Amino acid sequence: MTTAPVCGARTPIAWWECEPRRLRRDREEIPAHFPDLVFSDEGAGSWEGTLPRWPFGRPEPTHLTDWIGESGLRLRLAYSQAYPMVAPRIIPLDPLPAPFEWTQHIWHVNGDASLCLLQDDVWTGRETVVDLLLKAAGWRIEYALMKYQAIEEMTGSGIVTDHRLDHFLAQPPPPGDGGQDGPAC
Amino acid sequence: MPGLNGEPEEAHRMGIDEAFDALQKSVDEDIKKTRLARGRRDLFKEALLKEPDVLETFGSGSLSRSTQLKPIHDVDIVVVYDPDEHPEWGSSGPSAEEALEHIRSQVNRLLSQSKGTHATVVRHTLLRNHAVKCFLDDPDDPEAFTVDVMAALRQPDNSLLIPEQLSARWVPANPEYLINMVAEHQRDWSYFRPLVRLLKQWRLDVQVEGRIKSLVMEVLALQCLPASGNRCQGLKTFFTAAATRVNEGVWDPAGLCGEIQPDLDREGLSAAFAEAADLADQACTAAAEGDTDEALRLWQEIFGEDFPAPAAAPKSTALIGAPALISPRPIKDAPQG
Repeated sequence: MTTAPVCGARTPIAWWECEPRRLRRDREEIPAHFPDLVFSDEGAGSWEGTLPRWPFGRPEPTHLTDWIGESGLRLRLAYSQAYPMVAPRIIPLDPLPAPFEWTQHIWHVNGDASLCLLQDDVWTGRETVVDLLLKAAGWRIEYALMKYQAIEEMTGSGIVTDHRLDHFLAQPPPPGDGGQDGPAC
Repeated sequence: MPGLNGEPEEAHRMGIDEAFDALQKSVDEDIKKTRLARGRRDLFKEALLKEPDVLETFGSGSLSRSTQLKPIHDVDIVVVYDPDEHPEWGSSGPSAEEALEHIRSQVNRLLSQSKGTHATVVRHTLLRNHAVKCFLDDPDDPEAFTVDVMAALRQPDNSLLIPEQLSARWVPANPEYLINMVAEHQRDWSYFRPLVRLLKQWRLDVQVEGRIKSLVMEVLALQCLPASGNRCQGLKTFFTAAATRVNEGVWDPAGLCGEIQPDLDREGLSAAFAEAADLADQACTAAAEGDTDEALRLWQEIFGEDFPAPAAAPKSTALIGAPALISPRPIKDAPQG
């Protein structure tokens, strides 16, 4: 006896089955720029690992490591099955924003603890994920500046190409504020 | 007098039409060289047409459709023979190669450099699968100019049978169908042929696996370029339509020869068309908003450095109270939340 098919049942299709070229592109571009990220095909897929502390085009400021340490942001980039039409989520793992920071605009963190790196309809699906990860690397530095209370809110567009905060990083952080574990507000 | 921001004045003065004209000039072959190629082709046509077993001769290939890219290294002609003079031709077997050998002996007698009775221009001949390749220059010269001469038999439906040496068969073909379609599209829209040449040039820089045959672009242009409007809108329409169309494969429009390039990287070409369509859309929007410089830069992104465009404007210093950005921005400096 055969079982009648369940009405509405269907086989899930992973996004990379529909967009194999996009997966191939990401798997070429991301390791080329961020060799410490590792891909996992579990679920809708993700990348996890640590970003370089200064992956930008201009020279690294002298005292950057005093602000953020030797390593850049550790994160997980999580695809959804709607990728590439919907941008992937970038979840910071170290440093991990405190829950009260998730709900305040000045920290650029969403309510689900992922980073809020894009406003409006900037993402069309054709952009490179590398640019998102660059923004995330910049977020980590601005997060340190916030924690040290060097700035009162993060910049509007990040610091990938904007050097206006670099002068802070050319000097050591102020003593006694505790850096990333210090008071936030 | 230098223009604003120290850029050449011409970059500021140049409109989109003028920029397309400049790109066209860089793609099109010099008229003198085109005339030379046509002259050489006509020499072969005249010589062979005088032969008693030849009914007609005509040019085929891109030169006959005026869609050729530079440099012009070769031209194609078709020689239609009288079937009564060659009753064996048209059937499978050795007649395919015999027809090509027949052309070779005629060309040698009429046009060989040492003893041609009509002209002394051909230095060497080679039998190819469908045609005899006649070298007018040293065959070892990579730039050697050649005339490919193909034998054909006219069929009742006006199509042709042409010899295929490797398979020892005669196969159907209809080069005149494509020539006529291109001419018809050109009559409707004078930008058609020039844009086909631009698109054939564009394909050379596309990131795909393998190469893209020039005929693939020409057939897609026939199917996806409009028959009216300006060049910008026409290209936007083309890229948008071709991104979908190429997924179905590109087939001989005469319906005789099947798929033109079975190994074509359809997925890669479709992605390239989609990306170009996106940029063309942005360029048309920028032009409509009066931002000619940005439109030029976007078209340059599609067509490369041969498309003239001003350098990107230097970043202005951020001003307190500046209006919010409303145009799309690169992700890496786009507003974050």
